[in-house]
Amino acid sequence: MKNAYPKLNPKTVVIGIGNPILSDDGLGIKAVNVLRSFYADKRENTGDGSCVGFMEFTEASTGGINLMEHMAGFQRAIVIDSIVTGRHKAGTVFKFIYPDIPYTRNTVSTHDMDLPAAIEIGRYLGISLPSEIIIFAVEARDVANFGEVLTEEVEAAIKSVVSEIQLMLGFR
Amino acid sequence: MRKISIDPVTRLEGHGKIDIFLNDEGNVENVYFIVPELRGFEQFCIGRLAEDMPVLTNRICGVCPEAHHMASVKALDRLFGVEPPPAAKKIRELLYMAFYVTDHTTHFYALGGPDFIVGPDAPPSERNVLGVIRKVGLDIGKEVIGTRARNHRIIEMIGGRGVHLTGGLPGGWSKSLSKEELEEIKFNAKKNIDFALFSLKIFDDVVLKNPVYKELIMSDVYIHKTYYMGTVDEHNSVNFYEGKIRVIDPEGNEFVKYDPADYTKHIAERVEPWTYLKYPYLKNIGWKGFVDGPESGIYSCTPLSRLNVSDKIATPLAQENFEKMYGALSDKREDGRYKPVHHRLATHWARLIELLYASEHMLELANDEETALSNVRTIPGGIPAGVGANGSPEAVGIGSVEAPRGTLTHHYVSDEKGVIKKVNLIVGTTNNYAPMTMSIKRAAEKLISKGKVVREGLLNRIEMAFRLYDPCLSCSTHSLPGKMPLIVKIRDKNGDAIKTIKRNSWD
Repeated sequence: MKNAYPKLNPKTVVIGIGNPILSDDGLGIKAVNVLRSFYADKRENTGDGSCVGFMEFTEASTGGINLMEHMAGFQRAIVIDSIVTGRHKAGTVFKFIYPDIPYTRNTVSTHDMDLPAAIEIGRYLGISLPSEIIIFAVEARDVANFGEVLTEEVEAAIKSVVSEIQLMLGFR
Repeated sequence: MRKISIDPVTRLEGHGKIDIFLNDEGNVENVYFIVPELRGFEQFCIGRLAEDMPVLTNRICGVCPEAHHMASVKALDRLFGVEPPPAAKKIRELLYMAFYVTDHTTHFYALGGPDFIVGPDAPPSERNVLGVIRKVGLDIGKEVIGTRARNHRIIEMIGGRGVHLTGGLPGGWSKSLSKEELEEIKFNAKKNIDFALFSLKIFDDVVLKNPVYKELIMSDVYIHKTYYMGTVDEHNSVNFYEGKIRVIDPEGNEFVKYDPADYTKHIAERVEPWTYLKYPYLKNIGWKGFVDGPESGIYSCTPLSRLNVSDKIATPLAQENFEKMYGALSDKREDGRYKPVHHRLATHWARLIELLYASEHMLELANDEETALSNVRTIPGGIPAGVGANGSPEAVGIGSVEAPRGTLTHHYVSDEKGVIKKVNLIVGTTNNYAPMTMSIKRAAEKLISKGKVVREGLLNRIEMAFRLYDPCLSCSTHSLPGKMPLIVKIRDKNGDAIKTIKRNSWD
């Protein structure tokens, strides 16, 4: 069978993951939206887009195989998710570099597997996957109530996640 | 960078927790399967416009947004009192078949397959999809990923977006399909049929021809004689998109067949103090506790249940395989129907037969001239509101589909302007919450006797008991079968924990 995914190209994908209507679980989606609009403006303002063209912003709602598929064809992946350790203050930002990653809320899928297993399978099957995978996780407070608003501490943390990713992507 | 350590016990508080209670003799008395609660969905919806519901409810769950989108838009057809034109219905159904193909494929190869193809007693490090690929071959892995990719593309093409669809509108669909698009769908549907047949062949070669696995399927650990539920068409053939809800008793007699809009007359929900999730049961039989048999209102709603309630399958190759499965596991009744199969592990087999049906039906729909018609919407003329209980104008819309994990019902009440006043959802998995609890109990009973606990394999045998239902609890417990962080607490009759068996990925 032909590989269903494109060959590796020098691009970064930023993936926000979570449920946008489940309070703090939606922070990944919200953060990626902030980044997307920031760089959209940039493209307009600079008119060049050379660097901007090398990044893509996307949303995912499930982890496991699906998340791995979103990374296919990129050289670097940055994932933004919520995490519930129960030991840290809400809004605490963590940065993990694959393969040294814990279970964040949405990088595993109940219906298939966790991200490291999905990446192992993807590589085994010859899918081009990023050599660098970074996960930003923010300690969530409320992931049990439906709602579109983040709790205050988590909302505030988006700023630091966004600015750190901007540093990595350039064009701050 | 900060170093952190994560305590799985903290994280698992209230998640994927199983409590096993023993009696004086040290045998299993009760099993509590506790799942977390997501709160406030109804409150979240009240005051919103009804037409927002298909794009709102498909965010409830990242695993089956397509099922929520479909049930929701069907509820809106009724709320607005409009009948979608034939092309719209067929386009919806076509998308839904592509969704079924991806969902059933992923479940079988990532979750069900490892137990059978690699073996239930293989070490967890091998009992995963990679183990399946190593055993069956690299090409099968590529086929699984390829099948997901091509069907996701079709879902995106028809639905407008890959994850959270936007295509569904009250009275129809937002776009028609071009000739080129239909050609692409046909090409892919044919590939799906080949893949489904290949998957059934693997099941035949690796599972059915292996006496150990066959014995496992037939074993009484995994048998429950409950009622079964599923949607059927006018010929009593399984249908995922529309029809009537048919319920059969454990002997295979039709107990009731009803319009999905009448669900409240037939389904009641049991509340237990130790879990947030409610247990649906057949109202007209009643709740008799966690027991099977004709006196207990517990029913199942799974791929196996759907085939149990059907007289046949409407596509030829799936029908051949339906005959094969029932020929092997059941007997014919006097009326020519097969008796229901109660062997829960056969659900994996039934799931592959449904995969084949979805693939064949996808091709039928793509070849159907009506699917290509350009009229895809009946514009609603307003909301035919009646008078509600408190005298104010009120409209009701109830829609249901067969989600891969069971019948999914969306029930909305709005005012005359379409502003939502009330929402009730019965999601697929909850139909199976009671049978799942029974299956876990049965597996535990076999492994715990007179206070002695067979630790080896306990977790996997228990997981196998609920994995076959493909549970999606409160869209999701964030638990991971095979490697799932799971806590089993065994308690004495006073409720004191005497043993705790844990397994989690941080170990």
